[in-house]
Amino acid sequence: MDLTAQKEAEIKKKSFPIHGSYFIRYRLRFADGEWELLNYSQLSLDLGDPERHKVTGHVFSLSTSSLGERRDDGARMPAGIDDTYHISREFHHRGKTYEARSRSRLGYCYIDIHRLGFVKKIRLGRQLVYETPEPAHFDGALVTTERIRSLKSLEFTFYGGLPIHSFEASRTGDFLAGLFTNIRPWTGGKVQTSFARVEDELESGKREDNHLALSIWQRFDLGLGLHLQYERLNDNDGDLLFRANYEAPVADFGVNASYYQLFETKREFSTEFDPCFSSLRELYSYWQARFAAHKGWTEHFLAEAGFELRQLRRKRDESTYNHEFKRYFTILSLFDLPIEDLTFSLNGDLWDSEAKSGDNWTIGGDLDYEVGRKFKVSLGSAYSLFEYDYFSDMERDDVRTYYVKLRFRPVKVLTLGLRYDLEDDDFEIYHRVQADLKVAF
Amino acid sequence: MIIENLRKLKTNLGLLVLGVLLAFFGCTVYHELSPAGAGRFPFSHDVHVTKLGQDCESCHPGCRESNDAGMPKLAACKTCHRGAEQYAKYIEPFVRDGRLSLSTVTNVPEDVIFSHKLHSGKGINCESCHRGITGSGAITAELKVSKDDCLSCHGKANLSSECQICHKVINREWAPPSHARGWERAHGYAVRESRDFPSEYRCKMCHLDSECQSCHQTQQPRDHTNFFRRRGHGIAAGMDRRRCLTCHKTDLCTSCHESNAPRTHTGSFGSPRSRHCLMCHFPLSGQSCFVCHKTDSSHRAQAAPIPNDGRHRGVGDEQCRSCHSPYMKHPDPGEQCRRCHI
Repeated sequence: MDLTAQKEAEIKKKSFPIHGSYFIRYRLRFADGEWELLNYSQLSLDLGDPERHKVTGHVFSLSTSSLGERRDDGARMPAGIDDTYHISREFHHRGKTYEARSRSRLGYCYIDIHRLGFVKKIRLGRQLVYETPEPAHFDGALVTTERIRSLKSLEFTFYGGLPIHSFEASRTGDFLAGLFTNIRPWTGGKVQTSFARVEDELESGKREDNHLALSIWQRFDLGLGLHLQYERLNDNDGDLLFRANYEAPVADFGVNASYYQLFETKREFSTEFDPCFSSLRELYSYWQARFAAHKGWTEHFLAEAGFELRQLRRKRDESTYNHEFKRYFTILSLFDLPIEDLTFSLNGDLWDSEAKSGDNWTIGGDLDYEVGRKFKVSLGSAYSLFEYDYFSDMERDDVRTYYVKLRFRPVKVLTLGLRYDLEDDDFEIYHRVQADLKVAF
Repeated sequence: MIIENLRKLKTNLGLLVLGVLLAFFGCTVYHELSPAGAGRFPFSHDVHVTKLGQDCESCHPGCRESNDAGMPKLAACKTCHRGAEQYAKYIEPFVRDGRLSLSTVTNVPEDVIFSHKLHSGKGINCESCHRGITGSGAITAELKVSKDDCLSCHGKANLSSECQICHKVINREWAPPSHARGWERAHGYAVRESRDFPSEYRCKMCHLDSECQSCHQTQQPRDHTNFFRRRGHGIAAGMDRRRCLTCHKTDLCTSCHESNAPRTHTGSFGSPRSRHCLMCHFPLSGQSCFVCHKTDSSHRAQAAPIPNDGRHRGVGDEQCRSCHSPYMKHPDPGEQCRRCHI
């Protein structure tokens, strides 16, 4: 280590680092004489260094504001799945918490206390546990113990608190708690057992669910990783997941495969275990297999392709939100040809449904060109065809999209972005203009 | 009840068989992929250090005075094991450049800056890092000193965890070769792998939590077009709702659908003359319309009631069309009339 690096390291050793980013976006959407201007911002902070400091923290918050709009009575431009601001005049619902021009949300806000004897970490605040098969987002506490080396690196994690359901007005009656253990019984292997209890006050009444899961991972030195997971929900068989991933970097080749089976029809559960039920209703028993591979040739070509198959356990369960399908997808990429830093990719995606409704396919191409690591221009286009069967006659929607995107990074901490999208579907011509600024520190 | 129990038994048996098959598959693959003998070197530190009381430097000469570990030469063994040529066949596979080594345990990557002398000089004894080695019966991968071990010790000593302390080339600005092409699309697998084996913390070595969020909260999947936002997402959810749950965890569907009407719901949609009823009825579907209209009863009153007279009393659904056929606008087979016409 040279002297400069040592000095830098010494300075950093004494400091309490604060890293993160601030992102702000202005987005203008317009179509058919209606328009809407939104401002979206997010702040993300990492406080301290977990390796050196006893107490560290993390904050992530989001904010959306409407800066103006012009809409027809028919609410032809409803807020989308990425928005938090809803202004539609139809189905206006007074009970919601987001009837405001501006809305802020706290994603995470926690402090970590490290190395308290046998306790490796205590996390307090708004957090997400994502190590378990069903992630838990909650306000509360989490305690992780040190690994017990004499017991195959056994470690325990306990957590509990009030679950976060971003769109619910009240948290009365909601609660979650859980425990999971990790153990590494053999070389390259890890076994996790987890238990969680969730209580959720829903419109239809209170749900109390107990979730059990067993997960086994195995990694081999030669690039193969396996994962098997079995879940139980209350007294029912839940689901089974098997995943295999193989990477051979020298040959520039990799494959991954997965198999998933839902053993029994999934009906209403706590939001944590099935957030879709209130809209999509029952999820009938099915199995789904997926296989994908990628292979590179020289430094210039990369091909990726995959196949997915889903079958319902009973054919008669085929319905609007329970489909059997075959899916094929591929991406072909060309790098640094004919000039350096130019990337061209072609992609295709086909969903072939067994029912009359639901077939759709997309084909698209993108071109990226980077100039001196500071400036990047991207443009692309895609065509999609959706076919479905409402009113007993076949409906087909053609969607053509075009975009151009510029990114400029004059200095390391600052990134500026500008994007324009044009979408021409069978209903309207839609435009989106977006300007971004990101400061990373 | 019996059928239900049989079904459960069948499911459990299926699981058991699947478990056995997977275990068999796992063991086979493990056996196939592990070169014979490569993962285990039959040398007992327990016998040599604990029982015979030998010092580390007896076999690892100069390990406290030089940067490397002074891996033993075969000749070192022969100073005690004279005439023990019969063991040579067990040892030879582990000889590299005249010294004993086991790649999975003893290899120090070229980029790593490490000095045994420096650590020994700070008064750190061998077993502080090589935990459990003195009582071990063989050299196995469990004895490897991991990056976690280094970081844990450096953290306790309040030493910096900056990359350049231990690496010649790697620093926070350096990207591994895997990040070169198509990485934006492919990084999900690596992240999951990193999550599954948190001991490695591979992503978190360089990336902070805030970096994941700064991208994932501002960039949508490429198929999330305006059409997708307004109509296509229902088709996607019908195909594979688990895919949606990768990002959308809470009750997002309800929150949006309660405040936004589908684009079909314009003009005369919903009026008694509209054909909108066909979307849900004939046959009655508990799905598409039900996303929003769970408890609606208002439109019941809009269908003309069946007259309570002698001609209609006691007539079943299937008989409606025998009289009404020429006048009915409904293109249904006339099997569910009483669902609306009460």
